[in-house]
Formats: sequence, C-alpha cells, structure tokens
Amino acid sequence: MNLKVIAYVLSQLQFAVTLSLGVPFVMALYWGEACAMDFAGTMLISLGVGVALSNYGELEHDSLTIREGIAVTGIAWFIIPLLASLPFLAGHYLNPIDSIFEGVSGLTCTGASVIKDLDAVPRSIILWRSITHWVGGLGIIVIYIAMFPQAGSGAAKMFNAEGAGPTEMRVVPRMKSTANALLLMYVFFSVILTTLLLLCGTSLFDAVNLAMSAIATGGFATTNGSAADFHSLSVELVLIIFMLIGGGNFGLYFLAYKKGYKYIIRDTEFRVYLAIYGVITLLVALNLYDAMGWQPGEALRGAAFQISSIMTTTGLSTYNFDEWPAFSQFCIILVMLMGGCGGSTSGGMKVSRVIILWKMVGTIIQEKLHPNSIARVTMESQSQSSTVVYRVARFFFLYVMIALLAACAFNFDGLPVVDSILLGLSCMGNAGVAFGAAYTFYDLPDVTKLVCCLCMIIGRLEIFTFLAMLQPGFWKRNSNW
Amino acid sequence: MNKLVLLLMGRVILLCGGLQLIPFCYSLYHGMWQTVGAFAASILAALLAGVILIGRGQEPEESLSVLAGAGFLFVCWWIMSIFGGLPYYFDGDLTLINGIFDSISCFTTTGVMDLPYRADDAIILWRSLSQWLGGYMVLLLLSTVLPGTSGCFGTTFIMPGSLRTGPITLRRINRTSVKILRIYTLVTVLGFLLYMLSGLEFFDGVNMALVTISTGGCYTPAADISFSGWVVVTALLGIVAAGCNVFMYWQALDFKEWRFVIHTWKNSEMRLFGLMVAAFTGIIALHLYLGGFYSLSDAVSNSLFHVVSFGCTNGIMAENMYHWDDVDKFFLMCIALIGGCMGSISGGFKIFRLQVLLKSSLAEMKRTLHPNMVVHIVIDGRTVPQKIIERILGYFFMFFLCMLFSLLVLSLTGLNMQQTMDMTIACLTSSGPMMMFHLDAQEVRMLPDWAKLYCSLLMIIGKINIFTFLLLVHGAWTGLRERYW
Repeated sequence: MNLKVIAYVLSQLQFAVTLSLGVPFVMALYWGEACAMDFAGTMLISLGVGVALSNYGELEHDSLTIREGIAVTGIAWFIIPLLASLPFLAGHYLNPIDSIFEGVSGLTCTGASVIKDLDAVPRSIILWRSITHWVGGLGIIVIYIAMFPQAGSGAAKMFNAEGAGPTEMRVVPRMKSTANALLLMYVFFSVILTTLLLLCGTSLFDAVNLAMSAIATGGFATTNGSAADFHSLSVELVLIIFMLIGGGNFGLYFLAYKKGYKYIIRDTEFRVYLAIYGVITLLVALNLYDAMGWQPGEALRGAAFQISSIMTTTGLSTYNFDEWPAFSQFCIILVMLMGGCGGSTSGGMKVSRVIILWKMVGTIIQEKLHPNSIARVTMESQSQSSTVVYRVARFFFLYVMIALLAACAFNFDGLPVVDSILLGLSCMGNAGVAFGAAYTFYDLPDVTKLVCCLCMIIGRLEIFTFLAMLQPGFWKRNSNW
Repeated sequence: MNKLVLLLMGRVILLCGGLQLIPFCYSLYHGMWQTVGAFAASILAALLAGVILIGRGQEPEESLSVLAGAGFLFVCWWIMSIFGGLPYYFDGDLTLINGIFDSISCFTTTGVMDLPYRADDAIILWRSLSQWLGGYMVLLLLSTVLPGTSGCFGTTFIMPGSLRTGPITLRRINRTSVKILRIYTLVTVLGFLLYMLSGLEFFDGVNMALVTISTGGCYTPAADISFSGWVVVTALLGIVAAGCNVFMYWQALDFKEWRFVIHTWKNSEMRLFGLMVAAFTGIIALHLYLGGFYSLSDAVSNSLFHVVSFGCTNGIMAENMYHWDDVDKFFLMCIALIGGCMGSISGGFKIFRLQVLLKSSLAEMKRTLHPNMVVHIVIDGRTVPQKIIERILGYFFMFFLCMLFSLLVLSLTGLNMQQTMDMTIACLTSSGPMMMFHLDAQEVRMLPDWAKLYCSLLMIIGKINIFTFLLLVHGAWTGLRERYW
C-alpha cells in the first residue's frame, strides 16, 4: 500500500470539504451571524489538514490498488465527519460527543439530531447540517470523482468501496462519466424540489434545506417539529414524491433521461420498491384507522408520509409514530430494514438485495424438488453470478449481527431491549428514527452515541469496506495488492 | 393421499394414545375419576382414528418423496397434538383451542405455562410425557424424514453416512425408531436415577427426567420443588445431554465404541457452545452481581444454569428469574435464538449454522481484498461443501423473514412490541418460558384463538424447519396453478 497516494487523494477530498464549508461561512457573513468565525476557523483547520496531507502525499501512479481504494474511502468517512462536526463544537452548541454524532449523522444521511432546540441555533448552522446531508447523500467519493479531474482509473475502486447496492451499476462505461451522470441527476432533482417547495409557500431557506435533506434522504429539518410544522398537504405530497425519488436508483433516472421513461417502468427493483411502499402504506393506514380511530384521510396521509420517509431512510416526520400501534411500528421497522433501491441515496439493506435473497430461497426450493436442475437467480433477465448472490447473503448476515451487537451495547448502557434493537437497526440503515427511550436522540448516553456513530459509518460503507480495513495485514506497506 | 403417510400417521396417533395409558392408569390408581374419564375418551378416540388410518394405509408406497415427507412432517405434529390435547379438553380445564395450544407447546418441547398448575397429577404427568414423546419424535424425524426434506442446511453434514443417504423407507423408519427409543429411554432412566439420588420425590423425579431430557422444560413454573445443588447439577447434565449432537451417542451405540462420545469434547461445535455459555454466563453474572440481585457465587450459578437451560432451548428454571433485569433476559433470548447443537432435540438456529456463517463471513472479508481467492471453510478437519454454506446463508434469511412476518402477525393481537417479540422468539425457538418474560399466564390464555393457532404453527415450524414449510407452500401453490379448474 502506498500511503503517499492515499494522502494525496485525501488532501483533495479535504480541499473539497473546505470548499463546501465556504457556503455556510458566506451565508453566516451575509446574515450577520457570529458563527461566521466558527466556520472560518473550521475552514482553516480543514485547509491546514489538506495542505499537510498534500505536502506528504504524491500521486505516484494514476491507478489505485483495491487496498488503496478501500483505505481512501474508509479513512475519508472517518475524517470528514470529524471536520464536519467542528462548527457545532466551536460555537458551543453541542459538546464534543454530540458534535461528532451530529457530523456523522449528517454526512451518513442518517438524520438523527441531538440539537434540542433548533430555534436557538443560527441559520448557517442549520444550513451546514443540510449541506452535510447533500454532500454525503450521493457519496463523498462520487462527488469527488465527478468534480475533480485526477480521479484516474483508481476511481472505480473507491467508488465500489463506498457501496450503494449489491452490484456495480455503470450507466456509462467510464467511471468519471457515471459519477457525472449521477451528480447531474442529483442536482437536477434538488433544484426541482426547491422550486416546488417554494411554489408550495415555504420560505427560500426552508425550501433549500428541506430539498437537500429530502433528496439526500437525510432527515434534518429546519424546525423542531420536522415536516409537521408546515401543516401543508402540498408540502407533504411534494416531499413524499421526492423522498421516493431519492430512494430510487439515480443511474436508472439517467438512463431514462437518455433513452426514455420505459427504463424506469421496466425495472424490477423500482417496481417492487413502489409496490412494497404502496402495500405497507395501506396496511399502516388501515391499522391507524382501526386501532387509533383516525379518519381514513388522515390515516392515509400520515401513513403515506411516514412510510415514504422511513422506507427511503430519510427520517422526516409528521406524526409521533412512537405512539402508533405495534403493528404499524413493526411495518416501519420492516421498511426501515429494507431501505430504498441500489444506487440511491438511501440506506438500509436495499430492495435489490432483498429481491436477490428472495429469489435465492426460490432456487433452493427448486433444487430440492428437482435435484438435477440448475436454478439461477436472475435480475432484469440477467443471471446473477453465485458470487454476487452469496455476497448479498453474507452482507445480510453481517448487517443483522452488527445491529444485534450494537443493541447489546445499547442495552448495557441502559436502553430497553426493543429500543436497543431498533436503534441498532436504525443506525445500520442510516434511517435516523428510533422508538421509546431512544426516540429523541439527545437523551442517549454518551457511549450509546459513539456506538451509534460507528454503526452509521459501517452502514454507510456497507460493512465489507469497514471489515476489510480491520483485517490483519491490511495496513502493511510492503504488499502490492 | 400417500398411503405410507397415512400408515405413519396412524402409528403416531396410536403411539400418542398408547402413552396416555400411563396417566390413565395413574389416575385410576389414585381414584381421580374425572381424569380417568378424560383419558379413557381420549384413548378411545386415538384408537379409533389410528386403526382407521392404518387400515387406509395398507400396501403403502416404497418410500416417501420430498413433498410427501414435508407433508408428513407438518401434519404429524398437528395430528399428534390434537389427540394429545383431548385429555385437557375432556377434563374440562381448557377450551379446545387452549387444549391444542397447550398440547402443541408440549409436543414441540416449547413448554408454555398455560395450564393452571394445580391441575391434578395425572394431567401434569401427561404434560411431561407428551414433552418426552415430542422429544422422541424430534429425534426420530431428524434421523428419518428430515434429512430428505430439509437436511441440506447442515444436518446431513453432521450425520453418519448411513443416515443421510438413501430413500425414506418404512423398513428404515422401523429400524431407526427402535434404536432411538433405546437410546432415549436409556438416557431418561439415567436422568431419573440421578434425580432420585439427588433427593427428589418419585413423582418429581419422573417428571423432571422427562422434561429435562426432552428439552420441554415445562413441569412447574415457580421452581416449587426444592432445587438442591445436586438436582441442579443433574438438570444441567440432562439439559446438556439433550442439547448435544445425538448422533454421537448413536455412533457410540452402533459401533460399541466410546471414542465417539469422547469425540464430543473435541467437537468444535461443542467448544463454541461452551465458549458461548461461558461468555453469556460471565456477562449475566456480572450484571446480576453489580445490580445487587445476588452474591457473586449465586449470580454465577444462577446465570450458568439459566444460560445452559435457555441455550439448549429447555427453559427449565432453578429459580424464578422473571424478576431479573431486561438486559439479562435479552441475553437469554439471544442464546435461545442461537439454540443448541445440530442433531439435538433443541430448537433455535443451531450453533453449527452460526459457526459456518461466521467462518463464511470471515472468508468474504478476505475476498473483498482478493476477489478471485478461493476460500475453503473447514470444520473439524472436514471441508464444508460450498452448497451447504450457500444454503445455510439462505436459511438465515428464511429464519429472519419468518420471525419478522410473525412479529407483524402477532402484533395485531394488541400486545406491545416487547411482548410480541418475546412470544415470537419463544415459539420459534421452542423456549416457552420466554413468552412469560413480559406476560403472565392469564394474558397468554386471553389471547385470541387465531393468535394461539398462529403460535402453534410457529412452534411446529420451529421444529420441522421453516424450509419444510416453504416446500409445502410451494408444493400447494404449484398444485393449485397446475390444476385444471
């Protein structure tokens, strides 16, 4: 492994972060907020780290090895959230652990907030939270590959290490073009959503922040009451649609843009995604109508918003779902576990993985009943290799195991059993919602918060990248693989 | 319908009816006339149904197909439990659904405490006997029908060669049933003698031996009988014996060589089990001690007993542990989910499967860095075939999906999330007492009938393996599709 190459790429990423910190800095100056100096200080630190890395680093070769790709992505996902948390700390809005939690939650698009009162926080800080969502949503690495010219052939390794689904989907052959396409779609939807929210009567500040939060499927809101404070059906409808878009495959949107909308309609994963959303929404609405005595319209509205928010792992809320009946809560957990589509900004298992696992069970039954037959898992008429299928199955196993291990830690830290398990699953899936004692994150004990941060990063990196870094020998300099 | 299935079902009913003769004689001897009537009616019903089914199953097919085997596995538990539940119903203590629910919980060795415990001794003896018969049926099906239907999830890997190959014929079932009965009875008698030596009364000794060896664990809910140190040690031995791979004993008996039993200590699955027990005991004991529940020695002994008891999905309790903290109950729940060894009577996911999944995940970590690497998984010097690894991975998904679906269904009863989770895991892993972690017997009894039937289905799925059930659903679905309406 060549540490100089890693340092060089990381320095470039650091410059990008400095650049993004410039936005809230300028806005803080414009709004005349005292926290402008906090942003300035953070920018200086970020720049300093970038320069130091740049001085040490050197791009000796254009292509990265697998290990270097994993190392860059892994380290980036640990360092950048730390820097992102500095503005919260510098302004004394949060203590060090809470700041790290907020930074990690923002960049991993979890959206779990530990800020008690958003009204007491300057607007530039709220804007910075939303920016962390937007930058982390598509992936720090994807944005880096799209925007910086020197990505080279090593880009694919970093891209794969960041992970956004079971298979590598390239809408165009070159990695840089793929990243450009994804970014184009991302910007396009963000702009459209902002415009629509403005048309629905929200302020420009709310529109921009909510747009960044919703399209990145993050979940940070601008007010304490989240999306419920707008009391507007049109705002909720627009958010539902765009959260669902955020949970869809951005590569697919680009294909549809280039070759026609039929690509979206024909896509199995997208159809299953919408079908599950529809069915679960109806079930929850019926349950709310039956068990809580809500009016049918209200039940449908509440269920449609909450399920879209949690299925896409956004986490915006219009109702306190902690008071909903157990059936609705289990439905919420089911969709939270499933997540959105592969290649989207959402977290969770991803629908494509669930489809693959489901079909895998089918092949086992087929082979049992017809021992000489060869049953293959197919997606979009293409046979999936057994390597991909069983990697997905192992991913599922590790996903559940890590969530359970985290739950054990939460349990020991004083949280009730069910709340711990759900918090573990929520952090692994970057959903940012929890139940019971963990419903408001700021009350959580410090150790729990740190474990949550780790889970969020592991979930965002889709496990294997993180686990690969833990292997003995990974950091050895003298091996070339 | 497959005549071999009818014949086998007839035999199962007769076996169930025949075993009821013991509590019948007991109640007759003690002059409990209401119970005598209940057992007499139940035995007659079983006799009638058994004879009819055996009559219909004359000149049976040579062997069971995969689907017929799955069908038999599924129906067998229901039939056995219905006939086993008749005494409760005729006795007037329980409604029909409650009777079936209780009977299924006994036969599947789950052991939910639904029955009022001061029911007369004959009924209590029948509960213990039905758990014992359930344990026997698990072993019998495990070594005959199950390998053909869902043995591909690791069961065949740990079995002796003679059991895992060849068709499921009547002759093979006959031969196996006698051999298993010998081993099972021997271990039970040994357990009974040890209990007697430990100072238990005759009736308590018999019941405790029956529920310990069968992993049923449902004899008395509040640890009423005095648990001296030696009783606890005997119970621990019995529980561990039932939670171990029974094929080890099988081979020892088959080859008259004790080296197979000695091999148990070298078996990596057993070692992992020991390691897990030590780790969970340590964690729970520490928590109990720090929480001020017990002194250090009591905390260790109590947690060890309950970890082993729930680990082998027995659920027998040496002390009323319902007042323990939720953290401790959570760890007991975790170890029950993992379950005992492959080839044992216990339920749960099974340690061997977890072992394979863990090793396989470690291999995948290597493959992240070396995508073309071929990594073998070796357990006890034998390479686990790729097919088995793949299927166990699939099984984990099925197990999880089944649990998630059941959570959804059972949450409709109006229970809260914690209670729903307890109930689902208790049924699926055959650890009945876990259901009472946040519920009491009265609340369980007040559950709607459909919920009890669903719980019963879940207990049976826990025993026959979710894959067998899916095979049946698939078979029924295909049958419906291909039928000309």
